[in-house]
Parts: sequence; structure tokens; C-alpha cells
Amino acid sequence: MSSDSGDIGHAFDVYGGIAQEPSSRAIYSDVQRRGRRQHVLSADDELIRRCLAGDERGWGELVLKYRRLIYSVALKCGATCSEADDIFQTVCLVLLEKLDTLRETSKLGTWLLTTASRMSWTVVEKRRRKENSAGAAYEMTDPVVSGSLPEQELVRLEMQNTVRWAVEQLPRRCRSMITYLFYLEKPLSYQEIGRRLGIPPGSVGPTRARCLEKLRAVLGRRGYR
Amino acid sequence: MSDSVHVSFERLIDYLEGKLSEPDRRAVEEHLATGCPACDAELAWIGRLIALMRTDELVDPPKEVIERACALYSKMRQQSGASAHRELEAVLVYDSHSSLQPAGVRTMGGEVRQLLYRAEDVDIDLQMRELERPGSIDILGQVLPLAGEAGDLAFQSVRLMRGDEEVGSTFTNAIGEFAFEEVEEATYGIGLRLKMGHVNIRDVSL
Repeated sequence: MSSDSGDIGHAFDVYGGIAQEPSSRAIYSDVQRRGRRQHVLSADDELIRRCLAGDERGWGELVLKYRRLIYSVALKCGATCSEADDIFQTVCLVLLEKLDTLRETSKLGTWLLTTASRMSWTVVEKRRRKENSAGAAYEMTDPVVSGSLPEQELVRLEMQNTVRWAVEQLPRRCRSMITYLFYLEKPLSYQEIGRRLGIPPGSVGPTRARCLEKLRAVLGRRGYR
Repeated sequence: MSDSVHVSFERLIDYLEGKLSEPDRRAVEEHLATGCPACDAELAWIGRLIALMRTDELVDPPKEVIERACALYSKMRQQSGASAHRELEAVLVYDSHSSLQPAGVRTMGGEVRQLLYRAEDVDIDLQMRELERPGSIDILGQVLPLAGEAGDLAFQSVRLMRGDEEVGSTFTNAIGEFAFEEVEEATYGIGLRLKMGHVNIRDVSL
């Protein structure tokens, strides 16, 4: 669930307008701006094609699109934040290395999930074995002591990542509206949403419907119906 | 509400969110009770979408972690451009099983074998650790610059080869370390894709 910061695109906004930044930061920012203008959810095969053709922005889009999925899988497998940082980096490296040999690019999300999940289990198991042999308490109550995340959970995570990515392609007002209503632990009242967005509370319902229609259009263009 | 008139998208959302007045809610339910396939499908889609958003617990990585991943692309391109045609053979300069311990080399326990390879400006330190399970070994490696910073040796690809077959792959960490764990005893090759070229270590017998 999002924090109370209120804007799902907040992570990107902090980079908006920063000039003379290092290359990766500039790409990060530029990718986001272009994504918003076009309101298009780039297909993975198109992004991979761009990466292979030398377009660094294509790579930036891939990283941004799957950042939450990879990182969250690592955490769900029991990795610490520091381990999740390394796992994220390594999964990105593996992806970059294998870009030109990937088959079935339409299943990139699933491939990343599997890769991140395997890598995470290895890291977590290794740490736990060490802790165990050192006499530290072994948390048998932890649901992720061994094995893998259930298939259903993996599918859900991938869908949620796709929806979040699609939400980020929407105009700012819609992003905020959807975040206030559906991503906050305690959704805001129509009164408060109206105040924050500068619209009458009575317009919140119709605006919400239009935003969800737009979201459906973005998802639908990529076959998520 | 007539059976032939579909429920609007907005109204379906209100229905799911419990925002309709009692008469409006009943009207929507009466229409849905007719089995209208279009409204059923619409309602199911909105319900799934809202449920996915409301249960979303995805976490953003820290911004510096994302930036580092974005920067990998140019780093790798520079690297492959500079080193694409250079194949370097690493030479064994030290083996703890067959040499006297030179000054400066750390003393290892009896179950650890240390090998030191050199290729131009880098050393590759390999430590083979025997595991409790017979026939199984951990390979712990570190790429070390003979001079200068180790920065260029971070996050580089390392492959474990058995004959022509790749049996493992990993990356160096921030200080050039890498590991292949629980490897079966056999003869292997190790390939490192470094900025200076592809470094090959051949015939490492475990």
C-alpha cells in the first residue's frame, strides 16, 4: 500500500526539472516525462528492441517498469532491504546480459519474477543457514522459511505491477485521484479529494470514472482487459 | 431502470464502492439480476481492478538503487565496446597446494586452497573451500586491481564453464568479489568479462 505521500508518481516527481544530473538520473527523469506525454504502455518486446538498438531510454523504461516487482519479490521472499538492493541490481544485470537471447519477450514479467524469486531464496537461505549454524534463533513461524511464493501470489504481484505502471502513464490529476481512492490505506473523503485537486466534491465521482476509463484504455492497449 | 439499458460505468463503480442510495442500488441489482452479460463483465473487471489496487503492497526500491540500475546500460556498452575483441588468458602465479607461502599471502586453513591468477593489470584471487558434503566445494573469488581503484571491477559478469557448457554465472559485487557455491568437484574454466577484455582462467581443478 502506498504511503500517505498522496501521489503514486511521487518517486519520479522528485527528479522532474533537475538539470545537469548524472546520466542515469537524467534518463530516469526523461523516461518518465516521455511516458506521461505519450500515455502509452510500451510493450516489452518494443522496449527490448530499443535496448538492443542502443537506446538507453528503452533500458530506463524497462528498469522503471519492473522496479517494484523485482524489489518487492525479494522482500516477500524474506530478503533484508540491503539484500533486496543487491538482488535488484543483480536481476537487472542478468536481464541486461540476456536481452539479446530472451525468448518469449511477452513473458518478461514472469521471467523476472522467477529470476528474482530464485535469487532471493538463495540469498535468504544462505543467510539463514549461517545464522542457524551460528546458533541464532531460527524463525520457524516465518511463512517464507523455505520453498517459493505461491503461484497465485506471483500472478497477483505481476498484475499489480502492470496496473501501477499503467497508472503512472495517466495525467497527473488521474494519478492523484486513483491514488487517493485506491492506493492509500485510508482512502480520502470526496471532500478532501476535491479540496486537493481543486474540484467540487460532486465532481469527484464522474472524474474518478473518467480516470478509470483512461486506465482501462492504457491497460487495454497492451492486452490487459 | 429498464433491463435493456446498461448500467453506466460510473454507477457500477459507485455500486461496488457502496456509494449509491438505496433505490439506486436496488435498480442496479435488478438490472444485474437479468444476467446482462455486458454489465456483468464490466462489474467483474472493475471489481478485479479495484481489488488489485487496494491490496497492492509493492515497494519502490530506493532512488539510488534505481539510478544505479539505469546506469548499467551505458556501463555495459562502454565495456563491451572497449573489450569486445580482447581475449586474455590469466596466468597462475600462486597455488597454496604447490607453493611456499609468499610474503603477504594470508594463511589458510587446511581445507582451503588458494589460487592467484594474473591478467595484465588485475589479479584474480580464488579460494576453494571444501564443504562438509563430500565432493562439494565453494569457490570464492575476488578481482583485484594491481594499481588504482577497484570501481571498474564491480558488477562484472563471471561465468563458470565445464568444457563448453556454462554451468553457473554471477556478477562481482561492489568490491570485485564473486562466489559459486556448492560446486561439484571437477575441472572448470572461469570467464570474466571485464572492461579490459574477456579474461579466461582455464583448467581449474577442484
